[in-house]
Amino acid sequence: MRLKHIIITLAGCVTILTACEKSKFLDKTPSGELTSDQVWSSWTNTVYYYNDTYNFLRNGQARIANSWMDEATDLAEASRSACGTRSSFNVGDFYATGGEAEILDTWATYYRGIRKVNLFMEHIDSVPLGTEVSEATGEAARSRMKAEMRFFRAYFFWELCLRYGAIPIIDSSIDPDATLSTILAKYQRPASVKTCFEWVMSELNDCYTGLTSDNDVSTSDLGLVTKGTDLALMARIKLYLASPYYQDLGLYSWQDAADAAKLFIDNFGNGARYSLFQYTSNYVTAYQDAVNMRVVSGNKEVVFWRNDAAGNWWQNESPVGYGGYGGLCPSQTLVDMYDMANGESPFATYDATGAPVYDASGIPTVNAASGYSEQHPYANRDPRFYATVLYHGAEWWSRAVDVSTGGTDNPAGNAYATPTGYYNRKYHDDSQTDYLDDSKTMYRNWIFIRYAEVLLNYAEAINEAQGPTAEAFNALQQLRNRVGMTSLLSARTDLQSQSALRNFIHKERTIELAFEDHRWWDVRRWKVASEAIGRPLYGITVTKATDGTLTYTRKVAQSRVFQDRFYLYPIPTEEIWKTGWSNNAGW
Amino acid sequence: MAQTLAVHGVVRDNKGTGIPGATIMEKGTANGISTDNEGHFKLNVKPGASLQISAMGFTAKEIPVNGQTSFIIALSDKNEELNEVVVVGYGVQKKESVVGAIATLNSKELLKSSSPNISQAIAGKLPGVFTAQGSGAPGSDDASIYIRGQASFAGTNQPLVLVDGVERKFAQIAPDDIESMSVLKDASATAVYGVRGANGVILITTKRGIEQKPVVSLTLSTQVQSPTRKDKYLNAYESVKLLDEALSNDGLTKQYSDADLAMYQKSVAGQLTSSEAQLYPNVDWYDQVLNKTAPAQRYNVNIQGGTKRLRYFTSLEYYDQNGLYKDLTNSSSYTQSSNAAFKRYGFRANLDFALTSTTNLGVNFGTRFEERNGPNVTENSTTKYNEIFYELNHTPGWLFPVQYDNGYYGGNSQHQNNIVAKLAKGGFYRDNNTINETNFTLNQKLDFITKGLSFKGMASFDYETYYDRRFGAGFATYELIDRTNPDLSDSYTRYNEDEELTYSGNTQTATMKLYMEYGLNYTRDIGKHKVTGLVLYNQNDYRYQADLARRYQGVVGRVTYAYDNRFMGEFNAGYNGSENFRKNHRFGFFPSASVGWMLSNESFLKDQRNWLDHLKVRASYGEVGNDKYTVNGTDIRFLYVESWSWYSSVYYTGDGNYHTGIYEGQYPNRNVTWERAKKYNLGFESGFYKDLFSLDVDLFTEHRTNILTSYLSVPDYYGVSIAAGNLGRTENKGFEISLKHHNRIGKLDYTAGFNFTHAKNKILAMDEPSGKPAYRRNTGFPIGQFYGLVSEGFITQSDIDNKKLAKSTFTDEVKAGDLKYKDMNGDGYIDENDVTQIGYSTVPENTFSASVGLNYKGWSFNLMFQGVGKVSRYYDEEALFAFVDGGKVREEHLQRWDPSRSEDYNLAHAKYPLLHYDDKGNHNQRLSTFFLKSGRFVRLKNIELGYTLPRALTQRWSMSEARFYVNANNLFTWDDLNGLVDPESSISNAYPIMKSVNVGVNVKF
Repeated sequence: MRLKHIIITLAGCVTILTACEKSKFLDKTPSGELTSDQVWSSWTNTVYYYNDTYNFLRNGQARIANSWMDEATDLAEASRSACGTRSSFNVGDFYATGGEAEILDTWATYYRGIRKVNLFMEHIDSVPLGTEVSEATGEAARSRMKAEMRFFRAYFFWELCLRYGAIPIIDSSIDPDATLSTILAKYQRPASVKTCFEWVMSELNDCYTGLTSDNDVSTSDLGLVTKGTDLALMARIKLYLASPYYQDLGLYSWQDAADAAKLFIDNFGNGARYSLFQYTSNYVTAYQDAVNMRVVSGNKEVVFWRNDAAGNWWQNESPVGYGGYGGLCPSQTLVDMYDMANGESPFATYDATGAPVYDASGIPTVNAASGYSEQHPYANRDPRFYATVLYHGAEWWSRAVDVSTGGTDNPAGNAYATPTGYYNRKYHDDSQTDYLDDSKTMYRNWIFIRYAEVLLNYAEAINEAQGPTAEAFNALQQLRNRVGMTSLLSARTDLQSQSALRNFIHKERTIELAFEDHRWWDVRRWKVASEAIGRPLYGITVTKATDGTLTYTRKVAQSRVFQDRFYLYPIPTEEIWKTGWSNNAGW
Repeated sequence: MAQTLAVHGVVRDNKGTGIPGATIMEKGTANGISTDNEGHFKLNVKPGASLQISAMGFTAKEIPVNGQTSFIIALSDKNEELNEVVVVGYGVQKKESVVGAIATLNSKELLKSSSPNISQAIAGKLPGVFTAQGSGAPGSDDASIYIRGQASFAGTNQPLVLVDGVERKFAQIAPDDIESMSVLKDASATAVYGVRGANGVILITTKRGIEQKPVVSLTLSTQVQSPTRKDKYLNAYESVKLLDEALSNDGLTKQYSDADLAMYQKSVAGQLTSSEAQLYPNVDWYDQVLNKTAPAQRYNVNIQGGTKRLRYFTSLEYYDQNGLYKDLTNSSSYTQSSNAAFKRYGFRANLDFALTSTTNLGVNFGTRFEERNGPNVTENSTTKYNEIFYELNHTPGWLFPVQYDNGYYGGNSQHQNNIVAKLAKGGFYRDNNTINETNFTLNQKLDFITKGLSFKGMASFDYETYYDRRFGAGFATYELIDRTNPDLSDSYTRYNEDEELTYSGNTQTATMKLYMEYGLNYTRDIGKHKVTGLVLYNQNDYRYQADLARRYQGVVGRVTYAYDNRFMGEFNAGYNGSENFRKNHRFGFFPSASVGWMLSNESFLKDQRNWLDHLKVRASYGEVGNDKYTVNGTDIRFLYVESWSWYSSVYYTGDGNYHTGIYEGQYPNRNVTWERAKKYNLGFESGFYKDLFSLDVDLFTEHRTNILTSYLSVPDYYGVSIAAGNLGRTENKGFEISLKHHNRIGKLDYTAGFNFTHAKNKILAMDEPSGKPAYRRNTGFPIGQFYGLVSEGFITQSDIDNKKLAKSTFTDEVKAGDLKYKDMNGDGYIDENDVTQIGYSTVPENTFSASVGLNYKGWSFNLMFQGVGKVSRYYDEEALFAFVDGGKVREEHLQRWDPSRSEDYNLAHAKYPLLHYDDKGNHNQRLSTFFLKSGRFVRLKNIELGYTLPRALTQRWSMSEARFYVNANNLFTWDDLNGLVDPESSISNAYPIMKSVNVGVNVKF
């Protein structure tokens, strides 16, 4: 090849190379995705961005690898070993795969939510309204969305601090391009969780004015955060922070907590916007509907909830004899907490966990005067018991539940059969008769706060602040009346001391809010977690003699483990490695 | 009259075997003769004539007589001659001038395996290449391929595979269509593939026509397949005995009385009446569902030939493989059978037109029609999970019969999916995959510009459509509750409902590939200087459905120079880009340089030619890239762009008032670019005593940098997922040895070969957080390293009494006979934080094969052993553990820690810890050194016995060749797995790996 050819070839190569670089052949063509500029320059897109924040509200039903937070308490156990809490929290292994999701995802999800809000707050004021939105509507929406977003950020952060203790407050978006060391230096764990709670409360206070008033929410907007949501959440937080576990922070007194609950009751309660869901008869259904009926269908009890679409039936959560996988199985301890329908307590003494005091072999002393009998344990109980628990003999879906040994719902060799002798009824569609089939759907909205809780918050706070006052009894009485237990609590002689009423309130709170994700937090703030969660999980064995006679024998369904470090979650190990923080005590 | 000379001689092939039927012609006359059966001939010719010798399949030769009377004429096999040429990236090279690390495989070698799946058939045949088959399911049994182990944790580590120059699926190509395979291993060979070459490249070339009379080759073969491993689950009696032992170990109530046990014992012995047996079942689910063997057939016919103007290779292939499942449907239609089946119809026409004396047009048509059908069950082709085998491994045989006497299928709430019922009633699927592949190639010699210059252009268009139809039906299973009245339907709990078969929808996908390349080639010998050059442009546009096209674009360059067949030098470069990266970060220049020295051609070794055939050393260095980033098997693309995504109904308010959502999906990494491999290779090739021995050795080292990996040091509280960055570094080092021996003793011609490859990689960096303790780090350990607990044997009673055991968080209480673990972080608890590096990686460090071939007269015998070492395997829980999720128990569990025996006895004999029921066994049932298995094995991969009929006989039937053979794959395996699973497979719920015996005949006309 001559020089000329070489030059021509080289020139050709260079041309091709530059042509490649310049050609658009490899450019990414538009797809369904957006850039941040496209979001923040469009009012519609910004609203869409805001909408997504609601999706960070987590549904607690069977959330932890097919198990519930309440299955990690003394209220219930999962029938299946595959359910998350059973092989993780319940044997003391917080790092196990089943429970790990709760430890890792909670951290990651809420911090994602917090970033979402931070970005929104940084951009919302400069988003152009465009032509389709008028100035006035736009400005109103801007201020409302800002308030809701701040509410969410505070709520997410509150949920984080409950679990992980003192953690960095991130109130502006982190620039991922900044050097890691700068970010690590900036975000440290505060010395005390007090700093975190103060921030949460100041945010919740500040966002109040911008939120929609509850009475102004249109039907199609139901599900949005309102002023009432904000007040109710603050009432709950004050109650928690006044409780023994947080008392030393010195943030709120019991009276503060009582006042906060009272503020909600006065502003929005007592029928002003929220009230207990009532029927004049049929008390079991009244309690069921208070939880199951949708807000759009007229349920005025629900204050803060995740407004989900209809989901499939619960094959995972139903008795095996109906084609289910067992799922959430209530404990004997929960069953023991229900009073008799006549308003008396079936057992002689209760402790601060709300449960009767068990002797060494796990048996409580019966209060014979109540009419309760260990051989007919399910007769004449609180209607909420019948609405919450499927027990031996309960009529459900056109037949009686049979959990006797070898019975339809407790057959031999079935690893999914109930370990406790009970199945869950709460949240179930009661009207069916067929076998279970996940292709059928029902509404299962997840409630964060309902009016009943506010009343319980009030009763607890006022009793702690002032002793067994009429207000305390009145709040509790409303809940009992709703299920037809109208005998006057204030007349019960065993409830006239502050400490007796305290235990009673703990018990009422537990049964009223069973499986609504309260128990885990309540026993911690009451500082009775090691008593409540460390004791064995009790169940019942039902045996049927050939003549049909039933025998009920209490049993230990699972031994449980509780260590003091379980008061808080461990901060995810990887996060500790990354940040160099020290983990929570004991972890 | 002209004087004539009587000449005689023999015509032989390269191995010295006489060629019968060769034609000897006196040039320019009609005077000629054929050789006899031993290849001898006699002929009278003019003393000054030339002899033209030709034979089918051999290159013709012309020899001047020059008064000589006795001739020994060696003809070279056309196929072998082709082997002298090595297919390299965008071209071919003479074998002796190759300076890159390239392994090749020809058609003959490939066909020695009975496997009709190419990815399996290459196992053990190529040094440096390791294959692992995950499943034996008909039509879904492709093996993964690793070239020199693995060096990246960003992608799949799978090589780039090109068929006739285009990236294509290759596993289902008809084996007879393949002319050669080249495996490009070092950077010298792969640099031209630039950003895609880092994991090695496999080039597959299909057969083309040759100028000869048409040769028709017909292959018929039939195969019997059976699993390499048998299940080892215990019968009902032994199972329930152990079950009760497990329950009592856990302090739970026993489920069976002595009377029950007695009944189970009778049940196992077959002494129960049918109505008793349904109460005390003893179901062997494997027997119920599987046949012992599955048949397969393969037919192939191809025609190869051509004239000066047109050369052609065409073929037809039919392959039909049946699955192991019994047909439980009682359906007459084969597509509704519950057995799985795979059918492959292949057509190929490769044509070459000599348009002018300097212009050649090549056209390839390759069409494949693949049909798969089977039961309507889940079969995951990525994870190899198979629903049927999951159920076979999970459903206890003592709980319920397959069917009660009244016809009800058995089940319970946990086991609602009675797999026999599912196969009988649950429906079926059928899918078709049509693949059309075309190449148009134009070669134009451009000698008129400068001698040796030519133009090559290729365009290819591939189209693949996939259509999957599924029919399904629900089916009821029943649990007997009232055991006293099995005849009454009220005695049962019913799960689900019997339904009519309904069409449950289809999946349709289409894939389109447009590829083109054009460039200039230059080849010139000037005296002792040989120069070649190549410059070529290519672009690739791959479209799957309506997804964004996947595109590549680039320029390839190569210059080679050789002096006097002694010194060789080569420079290769790829300059190409991937749409995966941002402008200015997408094009990379990947150069490589290599040198070779043919020592045997040096004058100082010329005298050694009597024993030294050839001796070459070569060295290369180069850089190649990898643009693929996959997470859990999914390609992650466009890391450089922001991705704010839509969510059509993210939340709703009121009653069905749906709201659209937008979320920040990924924070981009604008500087992201390809991964870069720096590869060093040092090679040594030698041959001694006329091919009696040959030894090739390659040493290699590779450094990968810029490996795409997620930012592991960034805290989650950032609140956004950040696109991966070029953060990882690895090294991969090793060697390959290939030793061959070839000899002839009388009429026995034999070969023996041995290959050994060692490749060990190490992660040098991957952005691990600074606080991660050393015992949990990945850095410093191989890719795919196993992590688990360190088991220190069994817990003894004195361990418990002394209270020095770290507290297990996996159970509330440990007992004597449970496993003792090492508390790695010394915190007093055994939990997930105590896992550490154990065992080896999932990909073996050592792979080897040894083969022997014998040829005696018409007989041939070949066998090959293949093996791997330094690899670990961990199987699914139910393969290892007893009563997982209330499940089954295996033979190995009989050797458990038996609480009825003394501790000393157990310490000496127990091979499995104390039995537990369900999740009570969580403490023992963990990935630990106790259960991590060595995955090493040696297996008789192929064995073949063949007989070729004498040519005299075949010629009488106007055949040129007729060969009968029987061969087998995976016949015997030696491993440490105690029969758990086939060692090539990494999970146990997969369709088993099969051994196969194959009988066939090949006839050529």
